[in-house]
Order: sequence, then C-alpha cells, then structure tokens
Amino acid sequence: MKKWNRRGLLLATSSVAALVLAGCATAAEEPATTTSAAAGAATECTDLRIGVSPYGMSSFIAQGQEGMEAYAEAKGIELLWTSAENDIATQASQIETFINQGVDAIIIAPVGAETLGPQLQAAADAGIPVVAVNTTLKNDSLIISSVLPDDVAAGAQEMQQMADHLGGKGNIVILQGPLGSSPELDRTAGINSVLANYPDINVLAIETANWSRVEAANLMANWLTSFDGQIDGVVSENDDMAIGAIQAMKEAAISPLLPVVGIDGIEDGLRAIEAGEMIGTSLQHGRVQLAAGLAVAERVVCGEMVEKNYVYTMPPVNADNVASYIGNVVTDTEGFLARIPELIEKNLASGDIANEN
Amino acid sequence: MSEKLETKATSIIEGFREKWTTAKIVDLLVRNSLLIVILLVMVYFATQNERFASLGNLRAVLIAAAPFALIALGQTIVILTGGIDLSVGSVVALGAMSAAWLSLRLPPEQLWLAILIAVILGTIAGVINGLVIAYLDVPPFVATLGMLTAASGFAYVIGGGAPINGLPAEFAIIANAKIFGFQLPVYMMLGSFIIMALVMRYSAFGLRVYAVGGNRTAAEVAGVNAKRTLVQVYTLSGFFAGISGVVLASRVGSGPPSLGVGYELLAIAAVVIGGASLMGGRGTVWGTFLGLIIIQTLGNGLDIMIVPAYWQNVINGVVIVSAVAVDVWANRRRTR
Amino acid sequence: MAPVLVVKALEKSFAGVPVLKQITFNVEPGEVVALAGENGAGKSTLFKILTGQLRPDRGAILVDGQNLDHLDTKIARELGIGIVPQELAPYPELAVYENLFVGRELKSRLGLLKRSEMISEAKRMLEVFGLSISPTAKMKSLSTAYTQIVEIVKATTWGAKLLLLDEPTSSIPEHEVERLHEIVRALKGQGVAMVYTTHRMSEIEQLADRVLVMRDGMLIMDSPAAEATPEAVITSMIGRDLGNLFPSLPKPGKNIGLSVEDLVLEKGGPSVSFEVREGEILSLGGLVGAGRTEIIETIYGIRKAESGLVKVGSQLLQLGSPRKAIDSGIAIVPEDRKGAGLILQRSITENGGLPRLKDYLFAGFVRLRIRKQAVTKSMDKVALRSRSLDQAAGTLSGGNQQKIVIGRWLGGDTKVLLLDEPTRGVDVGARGEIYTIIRDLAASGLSVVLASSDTPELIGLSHRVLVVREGRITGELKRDELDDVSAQENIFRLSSGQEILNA
Repeated sequence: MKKWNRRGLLLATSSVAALVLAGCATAAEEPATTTSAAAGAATECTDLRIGVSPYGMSSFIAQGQEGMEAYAEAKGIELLWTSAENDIATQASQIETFINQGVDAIIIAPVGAETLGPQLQAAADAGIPVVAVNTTLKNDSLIISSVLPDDVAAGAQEMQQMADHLGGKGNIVILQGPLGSSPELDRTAGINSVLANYPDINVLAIETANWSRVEAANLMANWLTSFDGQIDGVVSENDDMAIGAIQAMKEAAISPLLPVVGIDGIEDGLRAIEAGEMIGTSLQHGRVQLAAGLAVAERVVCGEMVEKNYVYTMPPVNADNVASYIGNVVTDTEGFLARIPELIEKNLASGDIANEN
Repeated sequence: MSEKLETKATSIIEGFREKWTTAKIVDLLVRNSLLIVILLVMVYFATQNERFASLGNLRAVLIAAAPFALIALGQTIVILTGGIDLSVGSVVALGAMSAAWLSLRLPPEQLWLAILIAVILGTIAGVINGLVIAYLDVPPFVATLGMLTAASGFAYVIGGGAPINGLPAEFAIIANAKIFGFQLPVYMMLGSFIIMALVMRYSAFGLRVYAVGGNRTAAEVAGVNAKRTLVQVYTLSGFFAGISGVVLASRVGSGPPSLGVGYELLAIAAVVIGGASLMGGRGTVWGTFLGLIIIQTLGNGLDIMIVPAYWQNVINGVVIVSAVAVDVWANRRRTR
Repeated sequence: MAPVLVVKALEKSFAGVPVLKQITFNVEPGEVVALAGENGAGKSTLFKILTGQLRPDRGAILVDGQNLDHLDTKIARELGIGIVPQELAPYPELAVYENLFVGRELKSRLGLLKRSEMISEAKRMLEVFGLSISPTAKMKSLSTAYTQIVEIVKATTWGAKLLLLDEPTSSIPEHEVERLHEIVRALKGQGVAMVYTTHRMSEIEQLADRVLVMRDGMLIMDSPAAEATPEAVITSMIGRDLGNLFPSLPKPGKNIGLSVEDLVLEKGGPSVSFEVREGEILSLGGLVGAGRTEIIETIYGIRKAESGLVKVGSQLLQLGSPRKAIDSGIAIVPEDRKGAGLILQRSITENGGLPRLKDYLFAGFVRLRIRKQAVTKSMDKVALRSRSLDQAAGTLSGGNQQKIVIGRWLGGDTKVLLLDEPTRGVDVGARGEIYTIIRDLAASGLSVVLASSDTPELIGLSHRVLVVREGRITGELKRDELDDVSAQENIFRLSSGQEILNA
C-alpha cells in the first residue's frame, strides 16, 4: 500500500512540475499578437511568424542566428528556432510541428540532401512557403527559393590555396564533413576538381571527422603516427576540424606547424589565421547568409518576386586580408549587426550576397 | 658428477611439469583471455605499421583515452552495484559548457574557479541521480535517462544552443601541460585508476559497493546502509564525468553542447568487456582498464592502417563481441 | 519387470575434482528410494545427470532398458524423468496456474489459451493435495514452503515415470509432510518410481522401500529400508558414530536479555509480548506462514513496526534499523540464507567481517590482518570447514554457509541472537554442530530466539516454546511440558488453533 502511494505521489508531482515548466517556457515566448497567416501571397506583411529548422547548432549556425535575429527585430518578425542535431527524423517532426503551428513560412537547412519530401508536400498543401538556406535538397521543386553557399567553389578555392602554398606538389590529408551531407559532397567535389590539375599532389588519406574538433584531433593524431613525416599539408572542409588538426599537431610537438586550410571563417578560424596557425580559409559569414535567407522568406510571404537561387560566394581569407574581416566577424559584431538589415537589402538588389560593405 | 647434475635437472623439470600441467596452463590462458586478445591485437598492429609501437603513438592514444577512462571508471563503480548511469555523456557536455562559459568571464588567475564549478556541477548531477535512485526507488535506467536529457538541456541553455568558442589560452593548459612528455590528463587517468583500484579492494566503501551489488538484502541485513552507498557511487560517476568534460573542452578550446553523445555506451562497453556483470557484484577496475585499452587500441590501430570509419565500426563490433564471448565461455567452463 | 532406471558405473569430475565415483544402482517401477548423504556427497550432481542437465564423464544410464548415450533435458522429459529441485525456480510474476501449466498450456484450436479451464484444472490439482491456494495468486506471494508444494504438484501431474525429489520436505512443517507422504504413496500405487533425498530419518522409516547412502561421491549403502536402521544410515553418511544430536541445555540466568512489549506489526494487527532471559533459548513454533519470521524481522529492524517496544537488557532499541539493532547487540540468522544471508561472490572473510566492518577500519580502509584474525577466530568457533578463508562463500555447502551466517556475530558483544529456521536444508553432521554452537552461545549469556518448523528441534533445543498462529502467541510450553510425550501433539494443536490436551 505504502509503495503505491509513494509512486503515485511521485508521478503526480513530476507531471505537475513538467506542465509548469512547459508553461514557463512557452510563456516566455508568448507574442503580443498572434496572426496565423492562411494562404501565402496576399497576406499582411506585418508580425510574421517564421519557423527556422537548421540541421544543428554549429558555430556557423549560431552566428547565423545572430544575423537573422538582427534582421528579424528590425522588421518585426518573430522567429521560432529548433535544432535537428543532425538527425533526419527529428528535423521531419520539427517541420511538421511548424505546419501545425500555422507559421507564415519555414526556413530550413536540411540534414540530408534527399529527405523531407512528405513534410514539404504537407507545407505546400498548407500554403506555407519553404526557403532553404545553407544546405538544400536534391529535389528542390517544393522549395520556393534558396540562399546557398557555393560549396563547390569553396572546396576548389581552399584546395587552390593549398596547392599554391605547396608549389604544386606534396602530400596532403583531407578531413571531410559528415559523409553524404550536401556541403561535404560539394566541397569534396570542388577539392577534387582542383586536384585533377595537380598530379604531383598526393592524397595520403581522406576521412570524415564529422565537423568535430575532438574527432579531427584524434584522427589527425593517428595520421601523424601513420604517415610520420610525410604529410605536407592538411585540407579541412571546415574550420572546426582544422583547429582540431592544429591541436593534434601541437600535442605531437610538431614545429613549425604544417599548413592547414579550412572553410567557414569562424571566429577561432580567423584568429588562427591571424596567429599564423592556418594559412587560409573561405569566409562564410553566417550572419550575412542566414539573414539573407530570412529576407528572401519575408519577400515570399509578402508576395514579392524572388529568384529561385541566390548564391553566396565565399571570399577567400588569408594572412593578408584577415584584418579586414575580423572586425565584422569577431571584434565589432554589434556594429555589424546594426548594419545588417540595410546590407541585406543592398545585397539582394545587387545579387552579391556575400558582400559586407 | 654429471649424473648428479642430470638427476637434479630431471627433478626440476618434473617438478615443473607437476606444477604446470597442460590443464593448468590452459586454465591460466583462458582466465586472462582478454589480456591475451589485447596483446595479439597490439602485435598485429605493430606488424602492420612500425610507428604503431612508437612513443608518439602511445602519447596520442593515452590523451584520446583519458576522458573516456574517467567516465568508464565512474561507470564501473555504478555497474558494480547493479545499476547503470546513462547520463554521463550529457554531464560531460555540462561540465565542458560550464567550464567554457566561465572561462570566458573570469580573469586567468581565477580559471581554477571555472574548473571547480564545472566539476561541482557534474557532481551535483550525480548526487541527484543517486538520491532519486536510492530514496525514490526509481530504476537507475530511468533516473539516469532523465538526467541525460536534463543535463543535455542545461548544456544547450548555457551556450544558447551553440558551442562556446574562443576560450582563453590559459584554459588550454589543463589538457596540454606536459610532464615528462605526457599530458596532465594522462596522469589524471592513471592516478584515478590506481586510486580507485586500491579503494575498491581495500576500503570499506569498496566492500560495501560489492556487497550491495552482490546481494543488497544480505548487505542491509548485515547493517550496510545501501541507500547511502548508492548515492555515493552515482555522485562519483557524476564527478568523473564533470572532470572529463573540462579536460575535453580544454583540449580543443571549445565547449560544444553536443559533446559526449554516445560516451556512456562506450563506457558501458569498456566495463562489460572487462568482465563486470550488469547484474552487479562482479567486476574490477583493472578489468575496465583492459576493456578501455582494447577499444582505444582498436580505434587507434585501425586509423593508422587507414581503415575507413564504417569498416572500423564493423571490426569494433566483431572484436568486442568475440572478446566477451570468450570471457563468458571461459567462466562457464569453470563451473560446468 | 524391467527396472525403470539402471545406473552403471557413473563417473563425473569438475575441473579435475571427482564428484561421482562408480555409482551403480537400480530403481524398480513403483519403488520409493530414499537417497541420504551429507551436503556435498554428490546427490544433486547425480540428479542433474539423470535429468540431462549434466553429462557424465563415464558410465551408462538405462531407462526402461534403453541404453542412452545422449541424455539431454528434452529426452529425459520425454522418457518421463521429472525433478522437483531443491533450488526452486518458479516464475514469480506469473500466477500459480500459469506456473503449473508452463510448457503444456491448454490451447483452443486457434492456439489461444484456455485460461478458465487451466484455472479450474489447477484448482483441482491443488485440492488433490488438500491445498486451498488460489490458482490466480501471483507465485511470488507464496512463501518458500508453499512454492515448493506447488512445484511438487507441478511435477507430479504431468505423468512422470520416475520422479526425483531433492529435499522436498525441507521447508514444509510436520503435519503438511504427512500430506505429501500420502501423495507419494498414491503415486507409488500408480507405479511411479521415486528417488528422494532427505535428512529426516523418520521420513526414511515411513516411506522408503530402499535406502541409498552416498558419501564423498561414492555409494556406501544400498539396502532395503527394513534393514537400514537410523544409526546405520547416519553412520554411513558421516563415516563415524554420532552421539546424541541435541546437547544438554545450560541453565539460564536471572536477568532479562530481551523484552518485547506489545509489538504490533501491522495496523490493526495483533500484539506480541514476551521476555527472554540471558542464557535462555526461546523457540517460536507454528505452521509456515504463522508470522514468526515477521516477528523476528521486526525486532531486528528489517521490517517497520506499527507500535510497541523492544528492549535489549534495560536499553530501549530504536526499531526499523538493522544498523541500530547490530549496534545494540542483536544478531540475526535469517530464514532465506541465500537471499538475506550471504553475498555469495565475496570471500568468507569479507562476509564474516561485514556486520562489524566499522571495527576494522582505519581512515576508511580495511585493516586486513585485524579482520582476518577476528574472522579466523569466529569461524574456528563454529568449526567451519573450508579450504581457505579467501574462497567465495558460494562455493561452500549449505551447512557451512549457515555456519558463516551464525559465526560472523561471534566475538563481539552480541547480546541477542535471532535464528529463523537455522538448520533448514542442513545435513545431519552439520546440524549437530550448529545445535552445539547455539547452546554454547546461550551458555555464554546470550538470549536466543529460535523460530523452527522442525518439532524435534523445538523440543530438543529449547527452554521454552511459544506457539505462534496468525501473528499472535497462542500458547506456551515450558521445559517440563516439552519433556512430556504429548509435546509434539500439543505443539501441533496450538499451531492450528485447537485446544491442547492436558498431561
């Protein structure tokens, strides 16, 4: 008898606690007004609610969030954020939740290139436009518009940076993103396209470290052992893994450090270039890119014409020009964010999505 | 003269043969089967790539293993009581995130405070686990699963959902400071294992853990405060997870909230391979150490041989299952 | 008629240690064979081989004249060899009728279970034994004794030709034993052969047609029951002459060692009160389920009491905490030796030193030498037989395990000893030693409370007997009443709520 009472009490208390917590969480986000948009085109263009479903919360996406929020605040848009944590099923259910909540538009950065078909169909049926940003689906017929980085060009660019640095010959290792994701596929394709021009550059190993610093550190450490002394350069498909590789080299007391190139231009990456630990990267300024995506979504909801694809071409960053980017990306982000709404309008008009001036 | 020598030699050989009958040798081999598997694996890798057996590689393996080792240590003690701690992965993230967050806001002289608080947070998570399990009678699987999600949530809240980067250089000292060529965490790992091994064997706490895991009723009848012991083991597990998080964040200069995902399974695998029973009451710290070594060695060796990641998973699975199967067979042989 | 079972020159060793040596015997249909032997003599191993759980190293087994090379559990079952093991393994979460029918469920043509038919059939089977257990009760709600009874019911009703019973009556009280004997006789009439192990001489006399005695893996005696006197059987079992089983009782002191006043276990339940002097052995008799274990567990603190007090000497005991009980000087030897007694994977030293662990500590670490000394002394006092004190407790025989459970309290300031069925499943040789230990402990001034279903034990070992029925004390027999011939009868009557006969 006593045992049941205690269990029942525990159950009751925890249910109440859960409900209270849920109430608190949603209360914090309760908007002043709630207008659920019905059909897309001829709706009111104020107090929009837009759902955002990125594949995960990488440093890049976190940056992008800042940019989107700055733009959203200026335009009076409410953003609903989720994170799929690189799981396809999670993302699918998050989108379904957005549809149920009757958002005005959905912005996605899909986990996998060949997923979400049914969910997008459901969104279309409900009259909710979907915009893809940063990554997209192979079948983009149901995606109204997208703001995508040119990952192929970025891959080619970083490989070119390495090739130039090595003088056209040497041994390299390549750290990839999660195999099968669209950035990985594109960047690898770009790298390979440049490699084709340099028969004297040898790829000793190419393996995924899943965008993770720790994994890259461990993998690089093992490669250093395996190819003792033979590695001339490290090509990493993103800055996080590049930093991991640098850590491994420091642990193995390799001095001077081998040349490393990355992509993304995150804060730590730019700092690494400043400090001379990395030789180059390609800037993918999340704040700019994602805010552009939001701007596009806003235009769609407001019934304006948009292009099918907007391309974010990553500018190369190296020791020579890193100083000019550090301000916008690292040290004076407040100031930069203040300029965002205006900057994005300008970029959409000119077509130079990556511009920062 | 030589006759005397001959008979002496024969008697020595005979004495040897008596002591070491084939049956006894086989028995010895079978009981230490795990260690033998590890040695065979190492020998194999060494033949495949001579740099496998180098000091540099040893260093790499040890520093990669250190955080896992600490978690596995905590998990061993928990599993010995017949419980399980599924929350360690998230507590690692919690430790990493809180240390990272604090390190950005404290002056370098006070970095130790960041570490202390992070470890305390991990310990608190462990205490909560222990209290819920011991006093509310919630099964460990369920309780630690709840903590897994809660701690993970906290880790995300701290960073606003994103990793915390740009940690100060001083923070990196923890994982990078070298003594005699090996990093600090390696010594932490070895030291913790030695201390815990001694504690489990020779202290009252150790005996009580085995007693509660082996037969909780009998232990309570003999006056052991089983509830207190349970709280203690989970607290220990949380403590180790917290430290582990700090070490990981320090190594890569960033606190990713997704850190530690899947670590608990790795820890449990090491413990089980090492011969512990999930029912509790059976297992040793040394066994977990061996289990850990085999997992890390496999990963390291296969990387060096440039075996693709997916094949590595397959090989890992096969070797681990075989090691456990041999161990089970060896045990059964002794009692049948 | 061909023998149901022929066993020829059976041999078995474990890891090089021989456990069965050249066992040869026959069993005729309808014959009841008693298999006696100390624990560790090899009886269980023999049973396991006969049911196919283990394979012999050498020797032949013939069932109904058929020579069997491969005997496995499936074949054994098909041939009609059934076993009721000593270590019961029912399904605790399933109902009684489900336990009875597992493996041979009644199914309709569609394959669905015919539950109501199974329930009524189960009820019928139980009633044959005169049992009023509800077939739908969960198995785990039954006490050890009733669980065993259901197991026996289970084995006897699927038509076995040869039934192996491993200590079937060890946890069943006297009068219920008679019921089991009736079943045995009924089955015998049906031509079912039975081999059963027992420690009770009276059972051998009443039931057996033949007696086999094993010692150290060998068959020492094989003779018709008529020729096998209890003395001869015991001598064969232990290889030496056993004196009188029960030692002479010491004279109890004057002071009260333990007093229980108005102890109420459950809300609205009856209250229990009694006193035990120093040096006195007070026994609690009664049927299985009468509530003796509960009383003992409440005194020790494993169970919480509703109200009442317990005093050790003149000191009030804080109820509900075994730790406090131990610190006040109370020791317990629980009923379920495996479940509540020992931690089988740990060594004798560790088990022996567990209750008093605090005494051997320095800065949290165990002082090995001091503990070993203390445990060695206490284990010597109970004449523990083991290769070394470092071996795991689980490797010892039941009797030796019990000695550890008792012995671990010695050498401290134990003032009260609570024993619950201390000699259940313990062989004759060790039994005598345990009685002597209990007597010696009482003689040194302890107050002893002993719960037992073994009437000869109650009569032989106690200064006084309190009979418990449904949680309350229904009567008391003092020493002179115990000496009377009607004692056994009176104990039984008090246990079942009847009036006692006057001397």
